[in-house]
Amino acid sequence: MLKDVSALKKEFENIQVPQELDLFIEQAIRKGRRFNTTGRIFKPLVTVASIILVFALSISTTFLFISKTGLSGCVREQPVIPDPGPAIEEPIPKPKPKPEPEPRVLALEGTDIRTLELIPTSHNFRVNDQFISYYIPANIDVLYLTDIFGTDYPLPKPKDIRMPTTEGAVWRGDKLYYLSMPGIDEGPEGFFLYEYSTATHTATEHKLNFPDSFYPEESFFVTWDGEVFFVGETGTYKYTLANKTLKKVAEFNLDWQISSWSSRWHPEKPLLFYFEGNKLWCFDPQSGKSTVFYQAPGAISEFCWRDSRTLTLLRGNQLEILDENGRLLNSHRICEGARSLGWVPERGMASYRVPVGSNAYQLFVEDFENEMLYTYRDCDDYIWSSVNEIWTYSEDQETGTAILVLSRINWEPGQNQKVEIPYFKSREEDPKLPLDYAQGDNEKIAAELFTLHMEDLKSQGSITDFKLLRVVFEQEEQWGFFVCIDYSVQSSDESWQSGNGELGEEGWVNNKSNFINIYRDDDYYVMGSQWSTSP
Amino acid sequence: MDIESLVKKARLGNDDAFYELIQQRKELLYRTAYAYVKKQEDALDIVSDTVYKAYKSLRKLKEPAFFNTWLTRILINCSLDHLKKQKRIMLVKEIADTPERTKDFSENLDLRQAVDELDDKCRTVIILKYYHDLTIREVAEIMQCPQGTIKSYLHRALNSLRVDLKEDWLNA
Repeated sequence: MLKDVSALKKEFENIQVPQELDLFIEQAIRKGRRFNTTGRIFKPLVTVASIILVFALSISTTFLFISKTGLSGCVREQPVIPDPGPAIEEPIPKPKPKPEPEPRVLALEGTDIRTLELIPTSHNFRVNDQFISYYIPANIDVLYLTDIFGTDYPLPKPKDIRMPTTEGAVWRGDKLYYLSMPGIDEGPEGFFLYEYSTATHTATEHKLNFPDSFYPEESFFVTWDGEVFFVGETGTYKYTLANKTLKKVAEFNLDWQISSWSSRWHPEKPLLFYFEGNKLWCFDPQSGKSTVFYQAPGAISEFCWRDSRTLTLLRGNQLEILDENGRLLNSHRICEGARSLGWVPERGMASYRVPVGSNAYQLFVEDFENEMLYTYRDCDDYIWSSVNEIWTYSEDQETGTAILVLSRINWEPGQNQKVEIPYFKSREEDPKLPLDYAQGDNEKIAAELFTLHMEDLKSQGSITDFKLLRVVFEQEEQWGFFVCIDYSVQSSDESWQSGNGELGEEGWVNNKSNFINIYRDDDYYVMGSQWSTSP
Repeated sequence: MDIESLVKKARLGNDDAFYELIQQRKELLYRTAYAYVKKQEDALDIVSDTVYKAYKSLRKLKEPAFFNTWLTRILINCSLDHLKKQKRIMLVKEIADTPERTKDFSENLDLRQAVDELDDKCRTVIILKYYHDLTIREVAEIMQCPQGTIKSYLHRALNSLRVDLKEDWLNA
């Protein structure tokens, strides 16, 4: 019976969910509520009982004391009120101005994993697993793509256009979407959308035949279903990637200026948010209408999405957190001059840069819940790639250099956390392949490296023969990637029979499986450790 | 509303927020429980037990963002507990009732049944990796094991499935 993993998944998704499920859930919550209620009543009762006991004991002691010293020795104590515990249906706390406690300050430590040298003035970084896209200003901005190892990937562009891209590139999965338009004094006229895949390092080109009356803004939105929304001053066009069709969806005369610093697309929906003064607006490109999303008590200086349902903005030294409907959830006072607001993924901690000198900005990370303020390095830009990893970008004006550093954050400094630095340097004898081998096809690279390794064993006489059965790519890692390799091997050496595999005829051990790490160093793909487990 | 806000509200005693958190995951919870026990009423009991335990101990959850990971971990523990209890009950009847396996076991064995034959840890890895579509890192977080250990379980599981089925089904 031939089955694949998708069949397994399909079977799982086809499991019928019975209607009674909701009933069971409600009953469980009621049961839990009863438990909590009982616990909450019982706890104060114990407290009251203890107080009565203490009171009784103190009275008897007092009587003893009074009988010896008289009333002047008696001190009246304040009555103790037992803590009733929080109410079951406690109202949701409304944001209220409260005196902010001073947070504890801790210097954060980071262990550098990668350092990439870039051209100064790089900006607008986006990180997608191993890949980083960023811009260099020119007469219009130019988009660059590099990877964690410092390898640059040239991005395709239309013929005869030197400046290929505009700001506003978008990552969706392993694809980078960017718009190309002719620069000043450049021809030919025309707009091209590119869909660049990091899996294959190839791009699909989409020619966009906008009418002369329409000129798209640099920033555009790509839905997960493959629709791209372009907004201009006169309307909105929607391009469908699958069937390469362009359609006008709205016509209007935009009465506000779209700028990259004051506007942001919603993370999931084709809605463009922007601020003017103290108002945060939501613009729907499909209707051409703007509505006030939030009105702040003072001028807004920047905003960012924490996730698809929470938006945060800076207003002076106030950081305000809004829900998806524009309701203020919380407000915190942060350091004066804060800018470059961001959030640590999966943690309720905000990060921002604070001026610490004439041109220097230091990165601060604030944990509002635990009242902790972490200070980190000086940097000109930063981006979190995970809860424990951060890229910081710094330029040195004197030397004219710019570096992008990936560091692992130690949230508990001084505890000597073991930090494994995933950096590999190949040895002379390691089987290796140049970085341009098979255009980055990981399975082909792994298959070739494994073949080189086995051929080497064959030439040494360690094995008689081998068959490579299958290579399955498993996962990208910072040091490279790992694959699962199935193979059969013929050898008189019985050690090949250990671990997995089935004993065949003439010394063959069939269907062995190994996970193999493929490392990258500065120049090569290198086969690293193999490991397998018993069947 | 995002998970973190809902968890924070739920921790303050807002049952609607807790209910919404469960609603978002209920189908996945049920299907996962069913994948372990293969019986509707048992799966419903497991989900109910999971929800009760989660409600009771929500205050112990340190990091709201990890609610789903935490909830999945509770569900897995409830499912495994249930199976352990079931095994103890089955033990007495097993010898008399279980039909003898035929020699062409692999020819008749369904993939899902092969998954059921795996030990608890391997089966949990398969469920999380292939049913929930989680990465090895996420599986490691739920099972609270190093990633290397998860890779070993995964390898062992896939290897066992291949051995049982005598088919290179992963390559299909």
